[in-house]
Amino acid sequence: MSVVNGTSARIRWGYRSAAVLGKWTMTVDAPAPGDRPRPVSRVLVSSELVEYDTLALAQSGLELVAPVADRPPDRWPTWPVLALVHNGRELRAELGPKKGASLHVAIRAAGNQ
Amino acid sequence: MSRFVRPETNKLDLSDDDWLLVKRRLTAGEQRRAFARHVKTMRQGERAEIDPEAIGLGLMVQYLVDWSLVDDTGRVVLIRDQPTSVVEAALTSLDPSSFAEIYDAINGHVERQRLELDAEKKSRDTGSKLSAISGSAG
Repeated sequence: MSVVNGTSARIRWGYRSAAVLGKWTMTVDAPAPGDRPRPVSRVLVSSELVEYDTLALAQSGLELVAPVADRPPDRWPTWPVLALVHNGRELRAELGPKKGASLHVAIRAAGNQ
Repeated sequence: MSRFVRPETNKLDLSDDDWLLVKRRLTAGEQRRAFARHVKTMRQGERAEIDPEAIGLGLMVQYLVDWSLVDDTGRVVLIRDQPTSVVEAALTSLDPSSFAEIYDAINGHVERQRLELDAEKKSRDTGSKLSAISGSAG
């Protein structure tokens, strides 16, 4: 299992911002050999919830986007949100496989440890 | 069918292989902000005073999501997720013919969406009238 931390991210519903996230922690749980029926990594994120839009956050097709300082927004790493829960202050979500750029580059460029 | 606007986009082609990504429809809030942008003053019982410099700008800013337009160094001028003031500054920095091309492209899109929504509404109205008739006949 690997853990990465970030200082900001956003959940989108299409072009619309569904939530602004503060500090976040992502755990990537790689599948063990022969681990069935889950052949892909399990990605979980927990985060401070800075602001959110109730309607947008309740929709399907959400994506979590981690900004990278030296890249244009269309090249920021993006994960589909499979499920999420929040209590108005904190959010936890399960993410699908990452789209876009390398996570390691994203984390370094975002100034995270 | 939901009354809420889904955040869907349309790509509009410009000359020289440039493009715009625009919202398919505006929400009520976005439409009101677009309208408010070109009203200078509005008092009860008086005609609203319009800011001629802002006509059309509010609508363009509300519709624009992204574009392919680059600066002299070849870098895309960032407007995605930028504050309204940044998008507005980028638009007003364009040469007048480029501004007019974008204005026309967005207005054409607005008109097409209006016609599409009118057609959808008519077909829904016809459908509900027909079901009311068949319900009363049965």
